[in-house]
Amino acid sequence: MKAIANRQFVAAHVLLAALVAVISCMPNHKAITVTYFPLLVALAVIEGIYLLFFFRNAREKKRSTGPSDIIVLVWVLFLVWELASTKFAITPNVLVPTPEEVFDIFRTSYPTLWRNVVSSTSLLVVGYSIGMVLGVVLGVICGWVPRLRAMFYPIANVLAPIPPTVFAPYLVVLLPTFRSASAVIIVLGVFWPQFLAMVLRASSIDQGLLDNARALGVRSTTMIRRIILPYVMPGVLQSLRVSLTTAFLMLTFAEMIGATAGIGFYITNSNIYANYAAVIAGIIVCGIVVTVLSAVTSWIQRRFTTWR
Amino acid sequence: MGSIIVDNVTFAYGDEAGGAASPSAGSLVLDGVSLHIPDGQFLCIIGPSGSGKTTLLRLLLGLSEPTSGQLSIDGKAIDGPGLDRSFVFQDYSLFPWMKVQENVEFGIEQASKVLGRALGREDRARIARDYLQRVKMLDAADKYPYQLSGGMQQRVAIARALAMDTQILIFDEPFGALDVKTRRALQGLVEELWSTGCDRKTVVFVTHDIPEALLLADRIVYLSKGSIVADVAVDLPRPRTVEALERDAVASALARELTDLFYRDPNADERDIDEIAG
Repeated sequence: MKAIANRQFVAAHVLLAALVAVISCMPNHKAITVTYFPLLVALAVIEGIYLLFFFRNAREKKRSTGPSDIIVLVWVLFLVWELASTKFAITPNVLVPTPEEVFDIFRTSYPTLWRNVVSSTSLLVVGYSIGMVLGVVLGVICGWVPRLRAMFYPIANVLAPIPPTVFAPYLVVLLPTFRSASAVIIVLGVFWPQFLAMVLRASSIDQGLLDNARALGVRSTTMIRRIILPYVMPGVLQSLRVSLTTAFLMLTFAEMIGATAGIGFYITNSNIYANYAAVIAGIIVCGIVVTVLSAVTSWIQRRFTTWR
Repeated sequence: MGSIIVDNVTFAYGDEAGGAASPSAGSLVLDGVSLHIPDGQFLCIIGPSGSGKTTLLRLLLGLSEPTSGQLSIDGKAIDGPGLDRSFVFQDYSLFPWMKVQENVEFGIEQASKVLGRALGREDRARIARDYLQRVKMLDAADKYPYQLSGGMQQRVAIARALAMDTQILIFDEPFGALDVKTRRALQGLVEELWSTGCDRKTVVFVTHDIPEALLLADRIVYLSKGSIVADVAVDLPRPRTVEALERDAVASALARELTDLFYRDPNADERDIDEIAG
């Protein structure tokens, strides 16, 4: 197994060397105005991340070929892209930008990209947090109080399946700022599934645990805080990532229909000016943001799941 | 302080929902039960499944209300859960999201809240450790219940009940789900804790197991189909051990008498008879 890992490790680096050689030495078929320096930096960053995973696996004595296989695929794709666009110009000139052009966007417009990332992420975090907290708190209360459950659960079942995106055009005109409209759409997207799940879970708590708590004289707020909330917590933690994906979907959708900031706006706006290098750069940034946030939520999930 | 009076108590299902006042024969779980448990007595309730043992305990804990009749503690009617009573159930005795120490502390916290004792965080921790020590579970203080075996979980549940320092202890087949060896060890523990405790608590202990009842009880009540069929005093010297009781003539006679009750009871099925031997 060790030998296989090493063979792939070597293959990955042979490919990387070939890629760098092609980029730097082979004559361009297409006249491009940018340098290949930012592209090389990007490759170095990817290589760095790969090495991080490779050596972590080696240290933990994990015989995983995953990182090596992935990196081989990544280098092959880069090679194909580079050859097809920059070197042989087989692909349509405008529609498929060269890797050099795409990664040059990061050099030329990183302040813009960064501003848009901050704008998107802050909106996402705010909407996501409000949606989650409201969903859990109101869901637990409605699940716990039979009368509230009987009242709100049917209502929720009617409202929840309406895609929050259909409210978007109206919310944009109704609410004072575009950001508040986007936030409400994200909140709605995260809130309903969470609320319904919490109502079900809180109302199906084991009778034995409930008897135990009641016989200890646990009541009202202590019941919610010390018994029901901890009881529903594993479910909440499990849904963190799914909800994050929903929130991101809502965010980018909202940004694409009329925002003046954010990653979704950046992509749509670049698209209007046919700047496809920027479109692809924006998509890459989206991927990075969502991966980082997803890693954070998995960490939270692992850190706080204690009893199941 | 801690005498219990059960006065002509009837309980029928379906009435809690506010249904008809005349319970049908099928839903009648307790049928005019009267019982006086003096302070400091260890009472065991035995009987076949479905005889109303657990229902009687739920009424004592204030988790259900009787259809008619009244239950009172020291002359005060039971009108809901109260922290003059602590308890150990067969399952769900501990909260799975709290560590062992936290479970015990939570019981102490609730008890002190309701009884108006002012106990600080450190006092609670100290008391919890003390009782965990007594049930030999101090090493597991930082574990979650799912990391413990069933027997260990019940030890912690006993520690919690004792740490709450209430005058009345209620056990609902606490060892029913355990294997014989663990069960014997825990019975020994309860016997030891109870007979060496400086203040005798009133205990109501439901069990299926006749040797267990003889080991622990001052008095055994046989419940069948919601009525008390037999009420026997157990005048055996303490401390008791299962081995000594097996050789004791009085105890053997009592065991035979109680076993006969099961055999003669038309409401007892094979499973009940399998279980009574412990």
